[in-house]
Amino acid sequence: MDAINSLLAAFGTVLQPEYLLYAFVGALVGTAVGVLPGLGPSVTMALLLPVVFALGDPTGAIIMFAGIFYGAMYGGSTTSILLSTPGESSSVVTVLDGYRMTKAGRGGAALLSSAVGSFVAGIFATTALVFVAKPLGAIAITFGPSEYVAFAVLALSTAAILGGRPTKAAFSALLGLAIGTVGIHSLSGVTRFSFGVLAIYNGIDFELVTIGMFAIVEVLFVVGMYRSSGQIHGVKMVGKLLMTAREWRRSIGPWLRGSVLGFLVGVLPGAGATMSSYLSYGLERNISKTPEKFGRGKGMIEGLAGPEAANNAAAGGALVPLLTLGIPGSAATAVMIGALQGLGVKTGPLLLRDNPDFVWAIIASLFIGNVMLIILNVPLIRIWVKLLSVPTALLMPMILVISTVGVFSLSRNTVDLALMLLFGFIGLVLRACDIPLAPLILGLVLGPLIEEQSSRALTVSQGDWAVFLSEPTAVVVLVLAALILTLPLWRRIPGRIRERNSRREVLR
Amino acid sequence: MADQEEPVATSPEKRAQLDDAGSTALIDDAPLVAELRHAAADAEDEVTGDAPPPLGRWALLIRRAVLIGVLPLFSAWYLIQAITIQLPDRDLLISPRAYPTAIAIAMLAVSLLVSGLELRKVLLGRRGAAAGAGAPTEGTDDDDRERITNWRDAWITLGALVVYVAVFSFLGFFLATTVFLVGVSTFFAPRKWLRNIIVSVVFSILVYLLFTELLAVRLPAGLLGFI
Repeated sequence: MDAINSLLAAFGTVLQPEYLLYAFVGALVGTAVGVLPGLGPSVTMALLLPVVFALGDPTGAIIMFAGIFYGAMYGGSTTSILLSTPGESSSVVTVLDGYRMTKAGRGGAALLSSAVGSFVAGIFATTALVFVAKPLGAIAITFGPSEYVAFAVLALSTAAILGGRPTKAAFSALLGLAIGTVGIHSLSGVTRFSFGVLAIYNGIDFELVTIGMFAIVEVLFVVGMYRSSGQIHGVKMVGKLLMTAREWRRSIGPWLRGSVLGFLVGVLPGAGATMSSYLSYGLERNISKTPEKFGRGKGMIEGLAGPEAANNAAAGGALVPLLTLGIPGSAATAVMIGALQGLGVKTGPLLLRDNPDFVWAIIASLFIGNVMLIILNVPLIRIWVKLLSVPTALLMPMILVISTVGVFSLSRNTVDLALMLLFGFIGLVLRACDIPLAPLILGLVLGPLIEEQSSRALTVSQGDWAVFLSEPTAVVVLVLAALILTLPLWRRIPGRIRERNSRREVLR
Repeated sequence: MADQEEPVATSPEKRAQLDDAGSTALIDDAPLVAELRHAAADAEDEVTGDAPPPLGRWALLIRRAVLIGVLPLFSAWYLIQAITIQLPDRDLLISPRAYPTAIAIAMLAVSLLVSGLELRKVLLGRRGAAAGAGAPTEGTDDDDRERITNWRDAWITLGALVVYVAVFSFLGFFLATTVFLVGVSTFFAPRKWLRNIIVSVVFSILVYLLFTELLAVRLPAGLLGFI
């Protein structure tokens, strides 16, 4: 088995103490931040960008990011279960049954089921990645620019549709694309949208938009709600970290179903952990003999085990488009890819062919990260929960300081600091208008890629726009994107008819 | 997936309130939080009179202005900028205007859609209020969203950050950071001023060491440059 050999060789690299340390730091920081309310993996990664660039090692960077990615999800579930304060959107459904179990004195069992489920799913998704990466990579290499553009469009459409506010999310994604056009146009050398500001002739740095729109906006939201919510205190009874034989039996099915479902959803560009956790919850409830007990009374362990497995598996699945196509599917993977590009890694279909050692090292590090997290987290849960007593009044300005110093260390000029503030302000206003910011970051990363690839396609075709519909794969993907984009309209039509009928009845 | 069958308070803020109400043992800043809550409630009453609306009056106004007006205007401005990009003298197969123009047109279309939807919501809400019926009011479909409840705090924090960035080079990292941290944390937790000062100084030193020693980033020394 070719894949297995490559993987074993990669373990040799990753098991070096240096990389183990990166994985450890990533898992530790990720979990810590995941526990803190409001701070998700993308914010954490954005804040750590300066550190990562200073290390200058792409393999180390992605190993650390993988730890953060999984760690943040563990942390988010812990607080969902114990305090019903989900740290991430992907662990919102965990609250439904997890917190009920805690109130019924089964918090320890819920935590264990969540941790083991995440572990099972992480290992499953990574194993699937091992077998899928190479064949998919081989297909990806045959893709031309028009397929590439189609996949990027699919990723953007899916991201736009997910938040529940499709038009606003679509605007956000387009705004991201627009910000991506600032700077010198590589084909013609023309400077666009720079207004004579020298610092942005090479484009607006991805990092400062991310830090401004994620970290700073997040802090402003937390302080803006501080006086009405205050500090979160008081941990409910955790109980012993043990599951009964019956709870084990009830969890195994949801873990496995959640793992498969999560991975498949994660592979789809643009769909991610949050969507998979909702889908898994729905699935478990639908196949349960007692669906009415979900989210009621003492809580159903199935409603927790499934989504917890699904969101971790989705994180693994999301690495498939990232590694084989270079297309990020979520804000977190967008930050990852931005970091890799910043470190000089050429992401895209050729990554696996030209740099297989790097890809296999990532996959191996995911195994390490998963094992490390379960060893780290099960005994440390009580310590993690203590983190919640760090006063918000101090924590929030500290995050602002780290953001500022981070941007300063990346560019060392004050124009970039001013831009960071500007994006913080814009982000605050947009988010207050319920315009989601994650599609914007995705658009910002995908924008230059879309322009470059579509220019390439048009050059080959001598300016004939039909080139985008010349490849069957591209057509299928574009049709899929169009269907996804119009999904809310489809759903609305039956509602409209019903509404009209009921109005008629009222008139009668 | 979006339509769950029962309303579950999932926003951290809401949950925290429920928790606070339920748990008796509040530690640390408990009296402070209670006091602040009263102060916040008082302040809100001054503005609105009786029952506070889901969104503050200003926040609502800004929200509508942005969604209805600013977004389409910005899109139109971007479109104008895109179609007036200066072209080079030589012939190009693909104009540098093409891609931004395509984005601009799509963005303008979507922003008009957003604007139209918001406008419809405003008009429907007004008509409903006039008829006295239980028409959909602002914020009913957004209840699961995180909402800034105290805009003053958010703006003051952003303002403090602007000042911090402005004096960053002049005062130097250590002075600017310490003053910023003490200021903001004491604004939110005035009774813990001593703790705030100690933590701020220690944190500033730690970050300074982390960046200058471990990551080899030179931070401005500013007024402390002579040391």
